[in-house]
Amino acid sequence: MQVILLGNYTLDFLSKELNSLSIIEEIDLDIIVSGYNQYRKYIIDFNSQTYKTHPEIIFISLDLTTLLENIFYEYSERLNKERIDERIDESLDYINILANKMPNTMIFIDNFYLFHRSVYQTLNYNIDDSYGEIETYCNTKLKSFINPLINVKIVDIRDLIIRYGLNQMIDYRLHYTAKSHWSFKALKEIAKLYLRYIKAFIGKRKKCIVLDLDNTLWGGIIGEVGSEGIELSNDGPGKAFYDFQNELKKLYDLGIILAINSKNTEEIALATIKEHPYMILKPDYFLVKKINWKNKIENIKEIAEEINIGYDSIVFLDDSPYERDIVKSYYPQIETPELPKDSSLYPKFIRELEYFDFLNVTKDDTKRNQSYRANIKRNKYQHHFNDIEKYYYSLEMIATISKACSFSIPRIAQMTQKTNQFNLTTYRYTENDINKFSEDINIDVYYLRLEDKFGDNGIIGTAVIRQTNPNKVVHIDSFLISCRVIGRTVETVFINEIINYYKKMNYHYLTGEYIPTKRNKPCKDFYKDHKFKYDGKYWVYDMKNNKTTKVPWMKVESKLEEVLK
Amino acid sequence: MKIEDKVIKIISKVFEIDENQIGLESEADNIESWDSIGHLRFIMELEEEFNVKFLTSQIREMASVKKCINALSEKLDN
Repeated sequence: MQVILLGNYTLDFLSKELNSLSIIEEIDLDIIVSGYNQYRKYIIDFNSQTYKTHPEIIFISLDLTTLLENIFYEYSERLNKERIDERIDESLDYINILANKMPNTMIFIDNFYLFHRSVYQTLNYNIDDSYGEIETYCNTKLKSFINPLINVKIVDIRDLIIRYGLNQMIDYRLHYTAKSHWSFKALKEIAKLYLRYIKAFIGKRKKCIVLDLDNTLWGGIIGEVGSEGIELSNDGPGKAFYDFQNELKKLYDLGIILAINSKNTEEIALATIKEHPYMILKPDYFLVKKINWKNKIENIKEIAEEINIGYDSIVFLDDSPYERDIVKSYYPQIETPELPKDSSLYPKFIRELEYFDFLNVTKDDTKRNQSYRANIKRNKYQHHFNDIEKYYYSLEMIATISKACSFSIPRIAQMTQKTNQFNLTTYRYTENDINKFSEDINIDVYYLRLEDKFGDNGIIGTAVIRQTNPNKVVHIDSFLISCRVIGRTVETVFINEIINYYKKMNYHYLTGEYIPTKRNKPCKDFYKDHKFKYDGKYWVYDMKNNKTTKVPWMKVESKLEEVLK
Repeated sequence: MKIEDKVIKIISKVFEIDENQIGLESEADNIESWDSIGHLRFIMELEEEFNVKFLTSQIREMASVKKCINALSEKLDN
């Protein structure tokens, strides 16, 4: 991935650090840095590397102290806001040019901080326009500047400085000798922070938290002390568990799945979860509950299978180092972070876990838990039927096929990033890519929504089709179905509609390829099963001389016809 | 590990050269990747490893393995 760092101080230190960290985290970055205080040139010179290299991401790091430098010395106790406005607006103008010139690049800009303090410390806030107010003033400006720009996001670097303090973050020796003010520690932390934003951008995030109960969701061992004896309260030390649960609920609200894996007697534990007055996470919050005396490996395997997610999407939280070790040794892909020894640190611990970073929230995120729950019901329901077609009919499925639009683009991009099993080519696209495709007359982006008697599954299918050879051939660039709906003939309906659409437009052939990965076996025979013939290079479907397979149990609403008319 | 071995290890890491090519006589002038930015990164790594802090005026001087060892021994003795 091409990344560019632009700023008004020496960024080489930061870029080196970011590069080393990305290697450890196995994210392939190619980083270019602007020369010292050259960001303006990198923005207005349209022949510069900024534009030539088509970066996916640009980080802009403007140090406010440097930006306002001599203003501090021009005035004594009060600062001239007009002069500050001039400087800030000038910089933001450049960023505006960049954002408009590169609509397909994600631009991250650091929020503002001042790294030295005023010599008039006790005048801060006691007079108008004091030094202490500048940071807030500039950040408010920055926020209203980025609001209308969809491809610019703020990096909350100020929060790092608050957490570690200026004394740890700033190295004046480097500031005066190399024009980079960050300390060794600061560089490491900022690189980590930038990488969090990169990962959030590409949608690299865990999906599920598997939780232990005793000494994890509450204090004490329920089997020994009983429901009244556990630590869980809205006051006192038990409040740490209450807060911890509240934070987990917040993750749940954004679509992170919760599950229980606990060695306990099920009735006792469940009664507490249901009835304890300070239990935030009531039984329905957990998609799967494995409360038994089996070993945790077996339970976690069943959890992964029931929800249908990979081990690399799971975070396992358990206070016992023994249980963490055994899970890690069986499933090294599972993250097993060490819980703090002191439970009062649990809320802080969960807030600082870096597995669940978002850059925006899609509707599907907030509804994900609902749809996973419906899916588990569906699977259980399926066992009542010995005839699969009867089962399909009974689901009362309605599929809607449409072309990508602004509200569906974030979800479509997310699907290309996260879908592994039913994904013919596994090309990963960003929101900006999909945006670009949907504006390109030679590329069509489709999505499929599925509803059934259990509820709305949301967008669960995505296809990118390229028109290659004028008028005769269209090519499947991407075709993917969410693992939640595999085995429900959705893919057949989806490809049928795509075929019918191009047939009407007098195309002759639809071609595609299957690029095998470790995880996409479920769609290995997709082409064969849908009458494509392999020509040695591509799978080819002859639209003139083939009829699509009927799927009578699914109602189809195509929004594509409207486009044709 | 002796001070000089640790210093050589860090030089090798920061300047991306083989440890065998670094000796007591090595200095910034005969290692191509030892530029001004690299020099400061190297000093930061040294400070982290030995848990010391150098003065701005010392940092400039420490452009060879020998000078680094001297500066470090002085710090560590105190």
